[in-house]
Amino acid sequence: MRGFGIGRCLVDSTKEFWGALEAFFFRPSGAEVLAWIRIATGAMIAYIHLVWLLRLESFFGPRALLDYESLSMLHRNVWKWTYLDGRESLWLACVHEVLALGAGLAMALGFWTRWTVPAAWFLTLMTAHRLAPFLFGLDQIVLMLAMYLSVSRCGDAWSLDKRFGVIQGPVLHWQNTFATRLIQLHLCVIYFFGGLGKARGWMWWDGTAMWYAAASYEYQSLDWTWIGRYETLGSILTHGTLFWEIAYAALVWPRLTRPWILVIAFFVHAGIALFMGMITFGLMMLVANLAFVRLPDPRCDTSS
Amino acid sequence: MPQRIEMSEPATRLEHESQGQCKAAYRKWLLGLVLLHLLAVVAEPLFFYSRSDVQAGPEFLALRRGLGPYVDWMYLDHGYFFFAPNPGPSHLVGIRDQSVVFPDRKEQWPRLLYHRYFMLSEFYNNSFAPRALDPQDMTDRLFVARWEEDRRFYQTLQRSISKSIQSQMNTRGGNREDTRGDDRIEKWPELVRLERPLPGPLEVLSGAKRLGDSRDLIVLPEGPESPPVPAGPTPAGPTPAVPNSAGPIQGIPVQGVSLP
Repeated sequence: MRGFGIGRCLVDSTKEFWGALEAFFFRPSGAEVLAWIRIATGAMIAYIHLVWLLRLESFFGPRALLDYESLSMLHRNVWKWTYLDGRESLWLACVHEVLALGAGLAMALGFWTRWTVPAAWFLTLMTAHRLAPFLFGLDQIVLMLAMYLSVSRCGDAWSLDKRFGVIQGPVLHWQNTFATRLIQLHLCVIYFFGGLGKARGWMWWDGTAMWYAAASYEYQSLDWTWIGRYETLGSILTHGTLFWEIAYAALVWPRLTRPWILVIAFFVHAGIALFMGMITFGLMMLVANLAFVRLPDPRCDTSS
Repeated sequence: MPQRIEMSEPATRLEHESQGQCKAAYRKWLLGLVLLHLLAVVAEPLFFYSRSDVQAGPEFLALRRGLGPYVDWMYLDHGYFFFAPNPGPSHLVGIRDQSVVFPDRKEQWPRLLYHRYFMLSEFYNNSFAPRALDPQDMTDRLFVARWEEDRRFYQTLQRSISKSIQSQMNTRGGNREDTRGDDRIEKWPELVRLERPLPGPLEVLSGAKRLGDSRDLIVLPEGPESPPVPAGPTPAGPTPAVPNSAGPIQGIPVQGVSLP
């Protein structure tokens, strides 16, 4: 009887878990928050391609900094196919970049969203494989957001599609929850491993990492070397960043701790944007954190 | 007692879609795909973190290899090393006996463009492989094979960047003849790797050092045995020649380290 009881308990527990998992990923929700993420991501994609266009000859074509031979060797052992393989003409590269810029703008405006969001992701991905050595965290976040927005119904709110009746259907949709959950989980992976990476360095333990980040001239956009005068403050900020980053994946889910985790995220990324010359990266990390913001909408409930 | 009306299959589908629900039959498949995708998301960091001089965690290696095409093509191959393990010195690219080429805040604007060049200079430095190996390292055939491959890539990258810079200099100088970027350009500028060490707080706060001072730039040697050479009064000033020396393979690039 005892064995039967444990077995029954396990079966019930599994059923309960499965039900919770289904609700977690598939309970319909609104598109409002994803729409804001879409607007910011689309605008950033447009800006990214505008910047590539500013020095088109340095990035693409026969006179590019990374030519066909280098790119082939760089990608020799990896699966990084792109039609911009280093042998592309400037004309093709220009058309590609203009299309990508247009797709980004259309995505931001919510115009033909079902098509323009995946198009913006794909065109940006092709550029990313071509220009791998020029990329940094910004590109990782933008591509991650565009990828998940592609499977959502983010055009159902704050969009030209909605304004002109191109999109019709339910206000709440499971695809919005599905995409939101994927963004949330991916973000937790980023922070968790980012934190673990820092935990391997001694500067993040002896409290000097904040100073050395401030003293990195190439990153600096505003002088914050004054932090060197306040050793304890620098150390607290260093340790705070380390522990916040590692704990993010656990503490961002409970309602009690989520606001605090997001407030810290705001200050960390705003600091990176203002002081460390990475306004684009800082901004997109803040935008990604919006995935954890739940609007007080009585129609939707994705909190389980 | 009200009689339950059974709905036909198309009617049920329409009802689900109209309510924004996912059909129950699809959910298991979708969750399976989600599981695979999430494994792909963690495959690179797990593989990267499990590597040591001895081995990589076999299960993480298998995961990374198994999902390799998906991870690579979907641009999920990141270790998420932001300012980790420690904030380190910056690396720049210059032309020997001339000046820093990139990154340059005045030359490369807006800031995102500057950051693109900054990432390239860091990548160029990470790709460095020394001109020769220490004799004791030459006995390890695998080590030598890897060094040869890395060295070939470093030289190819160096040639590519030099050629592009020369082409742009010609264009700016109004010489249209040699701007096609092909191999007819015989003499390309010689690139040097520069490093800006991170100063301690006392040096900066006492005024002994100024951030961004070009005199602090160090020309990194092409052969690893030679000590770093100060760049002199200005980066435009002459720099001592670096002998072609053998040494430990400290410059072999560390793949997978991502910068913010």
